[in-house]
Amino acid sequence: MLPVLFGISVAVFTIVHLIPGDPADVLLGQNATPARVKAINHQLGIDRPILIQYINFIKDLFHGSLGTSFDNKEPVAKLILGRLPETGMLLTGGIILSILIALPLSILAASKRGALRDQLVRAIPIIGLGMPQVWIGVMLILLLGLKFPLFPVSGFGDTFPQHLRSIFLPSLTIAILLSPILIRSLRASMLEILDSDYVLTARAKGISQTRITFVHVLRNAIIASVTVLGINVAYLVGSMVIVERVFVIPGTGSLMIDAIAKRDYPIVQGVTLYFALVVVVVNLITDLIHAALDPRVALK
Amino acid sequence: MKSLKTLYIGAGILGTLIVAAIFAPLVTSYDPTEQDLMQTLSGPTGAHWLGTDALGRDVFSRLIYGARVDLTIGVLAVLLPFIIGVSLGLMTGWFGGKFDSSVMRVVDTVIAFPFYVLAIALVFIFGPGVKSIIVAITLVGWVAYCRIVRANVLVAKELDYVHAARLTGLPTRRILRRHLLPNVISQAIVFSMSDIVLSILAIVSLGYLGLGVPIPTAEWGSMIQEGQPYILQQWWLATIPGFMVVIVGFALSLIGDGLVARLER
Amino acid sequence: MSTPLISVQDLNVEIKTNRGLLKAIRGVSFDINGGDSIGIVGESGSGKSITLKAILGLLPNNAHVSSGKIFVAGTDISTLDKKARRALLSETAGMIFQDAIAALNPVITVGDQIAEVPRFRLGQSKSESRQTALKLMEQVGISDAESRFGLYPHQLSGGLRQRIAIAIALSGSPKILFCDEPTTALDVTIQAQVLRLLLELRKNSGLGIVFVTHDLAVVNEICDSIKVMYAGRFVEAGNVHTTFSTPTHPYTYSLLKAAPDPDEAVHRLFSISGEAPNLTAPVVGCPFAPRCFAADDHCLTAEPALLSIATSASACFKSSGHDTWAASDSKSGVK
Repeated sequence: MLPVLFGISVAVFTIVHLIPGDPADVLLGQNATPARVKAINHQLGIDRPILIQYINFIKDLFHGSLGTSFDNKEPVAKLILGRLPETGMLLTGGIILSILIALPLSILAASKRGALRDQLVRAIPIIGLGMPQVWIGVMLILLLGLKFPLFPVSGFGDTFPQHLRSIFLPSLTIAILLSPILIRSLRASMLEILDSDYVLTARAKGISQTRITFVHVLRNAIIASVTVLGINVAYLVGSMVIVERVFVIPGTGSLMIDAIAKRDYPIVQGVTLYFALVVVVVNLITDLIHAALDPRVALK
Repeated sequence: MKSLKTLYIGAGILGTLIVAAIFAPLVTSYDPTEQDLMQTLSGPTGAHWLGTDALGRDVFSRLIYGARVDLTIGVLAVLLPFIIGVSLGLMTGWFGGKFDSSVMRVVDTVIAFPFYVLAIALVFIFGPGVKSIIVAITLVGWVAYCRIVRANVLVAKELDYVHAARLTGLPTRRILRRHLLPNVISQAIVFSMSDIVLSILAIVSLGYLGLGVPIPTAEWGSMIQEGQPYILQQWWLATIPGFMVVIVGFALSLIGDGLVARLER
Repeated sequence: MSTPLISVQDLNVEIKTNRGLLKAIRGVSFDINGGDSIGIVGESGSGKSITLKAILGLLPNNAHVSSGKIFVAGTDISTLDKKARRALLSETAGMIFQDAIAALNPVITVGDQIAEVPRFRLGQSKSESRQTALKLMEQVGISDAESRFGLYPHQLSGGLRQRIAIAIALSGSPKILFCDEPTTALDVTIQAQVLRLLLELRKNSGLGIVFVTHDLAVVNEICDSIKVMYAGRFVEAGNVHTTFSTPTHPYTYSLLKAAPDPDEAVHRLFSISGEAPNLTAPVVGCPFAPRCFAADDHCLTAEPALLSIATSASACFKSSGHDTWAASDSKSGVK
């Protein structure tokens, strides 16, 4: 994990230094004179050697500082933390909904291989993986927001119940994006497990089909799928940025896209770093869940 | 036989789309960017099969010309990561050691980067457009090919035919290219089918956000975005471009499945 | 004679494969009585383990019983609904497999796996079922059962895993134990321990055993009767001692020649020249004829039925001449 964090910090630092143009020009706009540019550059520390700049960047990181926004002079860390509830709820909601969609469908499909219901569930990944995330969002807005106005189509609301209602359609968008991937892996691993000797042992024991499915098959299938979930976290987090935009949710992703329009690069840098961290943390959590479910995995 | 059928159906669907895109001027007589402000949001008519959009442009033409843009960039964007990833996978798997472990560190880092965040950050550097999209997809996409090929090389290099080739004293480059590559590349090719879908999804999403192919070029993502305000009156404006992507994804998925089944035989 | 525990009548099993429909079992009939110990031997692919799975309703998805009847305690199980059939079968027979690590659920403790039937089928309370499981563990010779109750399969050695698998199979107190090559994956000393355990269980609790293997030495050690399987059929059946001393089918004869000393506790692979027939194609003539030293033209046109001769049964046109085989096969050079 440490090498990854190091790699991420180097990557973000590099990206920001690839940005063409002087930040001072952006800061000063029309009022730029050579003397002022020089003063600002000194103030920002970008006239120093690149290695020193990197070390300072890391030092600031350790103090929890991601710099200050050009636009409104607020600390970037504070801006990101302020958007945490939106992003956190969207991510959790999306994962929970996708499990709620994928699990029953996979059980239904795997319990009768080759039957019509299995064929139908098998078609879901083939079609679902080709659906653009923005399009899923727009379709949900059309169906569940406008034709049948059950849920708000934009914003985040003010109270917690309102948050939950507002977050439903965007979470569902993420779930529709993620569940085809989960269905494919869950169905495949359940079929494999159903053919395994330990399920034969369980069947020979004469215990009920329900118990076999939920105790013997499901737990092992979930272990296999948790890893799949972990692999797709980066894709999921990235898609969240897009989904936030579709539903006009003022989350971290929107913060970033707005910052791009204003060329407010400390925010872009901070949010990029933050999202990479989110991926690392969620991966860590899936590793923990994996270890908790599978006695064969020893925690390092 | 069933596998060949899926392969043919997939190739048939995709082939039809590609042909239509190539011969777009023959398929439709309208210029996809030509505005007709007298006739906006006309709805389907004999002249405009899918109606016109808010600027009076023919939606059907924009759909067909959009296929040109999305399919071309989709395939182009996968080409570079494929070449880079397969080469690096071959080399890391074969040579191992320090080179392998340092490349794998980079792989771990890239995996932690949410693709869309990186793409948006790159748009910030290079400005919106095709170049940023291709650079972003390349920076992230090579990792998957590298991992697939590396894993296959690790297995294949212990097999007898490779040992035999090494014993004959052939230069390493030749062993890698002539003996190893053909045996480890098939999985990467299968994966590239679904990767094309992913890259088209990226183009569409960035187009929707206004960070992709610059307007007024016909592109499915920006069409979804332009159609969204009129979704209650004319649902098809935003819906049909999405269907096009689903169809492309469906075709490529069938092709991928067909390839897998053929390779397994 | 009283009703047999299990009676199999003209069982046929088909398997769907990529190369067509494979007739894996082609008309198998036999009875299993309480306390029997039957060894079923044959090459891999001969259908011996499919036979066990077909009886217990554990066939894989692509296989099905195409015809034939199975009676358990006098009841035709095809007349029962799924639940009643499963209940009757599991009360009658338990099963253990070749690879114990694959046959145990990796994420459930071995104790819970043994206690599962007492708890969820026999309706014992949690603590009762735990006691039952501990007793079973002791019965199959696991010392220190209390501390091993909470371990997972991967934390145990191969021999212990197979003992756990036996304990699970016994947890519903079945009358017969179906064993699908349970010792093949174990090393020799552990193999002997597991066989001794099976013998003890047989002696002490009158447990019947149906033992599928390709190891003649094991059959000699723990079985009273033997059925030799070839190409989805029994080709010879009889008492172990009689069959080993005077085989009445050339296939059995060749098997015994391939493993000269049945008392030797080392398992041997068969080495009979030629290959077993492809069962996706219709069988013409005796399926063993192409590999047989005694075959003549008649053997290539008709398939012999399993007929009784004296105390045993043989599916060979030439079975009457078995005392002259030693002379004839030395000419044709069977190894």
